[in-house]
Amino acid sequence: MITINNVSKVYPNGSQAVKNITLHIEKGEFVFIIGSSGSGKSTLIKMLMKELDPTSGEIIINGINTTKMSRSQVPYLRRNLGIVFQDFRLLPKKTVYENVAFAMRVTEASSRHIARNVPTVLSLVGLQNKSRAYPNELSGGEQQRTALARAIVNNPPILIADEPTGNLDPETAWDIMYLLDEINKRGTTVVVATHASDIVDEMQKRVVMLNHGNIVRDVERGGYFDEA
Amino acid sequence: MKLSSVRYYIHEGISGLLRNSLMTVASIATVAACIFIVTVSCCLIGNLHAMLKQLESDIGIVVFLDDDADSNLINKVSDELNQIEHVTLVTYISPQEALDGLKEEWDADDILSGFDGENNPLPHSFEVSIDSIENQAGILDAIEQIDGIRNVKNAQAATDVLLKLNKVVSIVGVIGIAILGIISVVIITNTIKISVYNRRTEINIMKYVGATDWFIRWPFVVEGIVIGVIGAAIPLIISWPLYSKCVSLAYEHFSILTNIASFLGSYEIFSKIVPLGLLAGIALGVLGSVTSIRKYLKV
Ligand SMILES: Nc1ncnc2c1ncn2[C@@H]1O[C@H](COP(=O)(O)OP(=O)(O)OP(=O)(O)O)[C@@H](O)[C@H]1O
Ligand SMILES: [Mg+2]
Repeated sequence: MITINNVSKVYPNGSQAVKNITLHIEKGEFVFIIGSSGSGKSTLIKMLMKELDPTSGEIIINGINTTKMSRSQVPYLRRNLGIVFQDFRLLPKKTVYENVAFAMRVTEASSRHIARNVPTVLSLVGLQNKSRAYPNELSGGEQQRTALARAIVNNPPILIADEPTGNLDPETAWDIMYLLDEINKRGTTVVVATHASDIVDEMQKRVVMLNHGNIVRDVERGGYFDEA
Repeated sequence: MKLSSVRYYIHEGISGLLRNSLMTVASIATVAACIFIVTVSCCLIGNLHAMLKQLESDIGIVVFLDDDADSNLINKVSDELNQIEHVTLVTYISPQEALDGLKEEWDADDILSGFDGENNPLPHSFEVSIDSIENQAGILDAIEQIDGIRNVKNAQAATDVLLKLNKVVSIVGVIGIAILGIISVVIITNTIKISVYNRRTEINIMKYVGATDWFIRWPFVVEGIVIGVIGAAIPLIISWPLYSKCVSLAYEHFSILTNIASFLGSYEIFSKIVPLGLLAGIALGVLGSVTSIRKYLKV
């Protein structure tokens, strides 16, 4: 599903964020990317969603080499990726419903299709009663659940999240992680960069650990601080 | 493009205008001010041009025939004059008509009375009108070729002045309107840039959920069109009656003007300015919005 081949990233200022990483992620996997601050997690995630291009190496997503992709193709790549951020990134002047519907509208989905799918994903994330609320009327957890609903409403094969619980209290963080697990069980490949050690320990998923831009550990069912 | 998307673009464009109402009013006011200034300049320059053209057509060429010209020669010359390109009107003036003209002009019936009939020393002549003063030199050359002509008279000094004036008005007009146009684009782009800057997160989010550049652009294009149309309509609606009023006031207070030159009719001038103004407004609005969002599409 995702193949990362000898990928390196050097920022224009010379800082080497990712160093020659090779990684395969199979369809249906749930992968935590962990590592201390500055280890290159966000850089890797940004290259997956083609916000950044690798300095060398290639990334293949769903059989398509995104490194060679033209700029005009990027929107179609992103429709295959549900993306969730630490800071939610909701449209502040649209309601919960409109925020989720927006991701479908972008794909020129029919109104009928939108009217059917949006309520379904909203109830999946438990927000069926908040559909008319605006983002500033929601708690952080509810905002992130809206973002999750938006990420999955087009039923993408892959969901990518960069510190999705970074702005949430521990209990709400667990809600979000359970939801991610739920989404994964429905068949979506999930990649999560996180600092939440307790959650990683508890969930026993595949763990890829970065340190100074290198993969220093990759275990099938691991915890946060396991030895390599 | 699907119909539901078109509806969405229009809806988003209009609600964007309403949400950022302050910016909308500012943009419309800028477009309106620019189009108003350009409209006023066009009226001034258009009239100057028309007046110069009028003066030009008053400056005719007079062709004098040899003293012994008979009716055969007169007909032959008349035909040849009519065949010259850019000649619009050839009028034959008999010696008697020329004399009557002189009498009237000098108000000297008695002095000139001895020259009537057989004694008339004036030659047969033609007054030749031409379409444009730029063609005068060529026409004069062609006239010189005709047999039986004693001499050709034209107001060379007046012609030169008019030609120069015409050139100056054209150049000043084109440069002036070009400068105003550039200033308008800069002001409008900046106004819209602020409105786009306020929505950069929104654009950014759209990119992450997989919106194509045009999906993001269209609502802004709709905004640009609405701003352009309203921004052009306001000054046009104001300046049309304003122009008519100014023209009639000018005639009233400076009645000599009527003899020298007349102003262009307001329909004549505004039937050209209105479509051009609307087009310019739309172009300004669309150009302003599309160039302003380009920067934020690169994610
Ligand atoms: N835009 C940038 N320009 C230059 N250097 C950058 C840029 N973004 C990140 N870096 C550098 O690249 C390295 C990796 O950063 P990255 O954001 O990928 O780390 P991270 O693992 O996500 O950290 P955190 O856990 O704090 O989010 C760091 O040394 C950082 O300083
Ligand atoms: Mg990070």
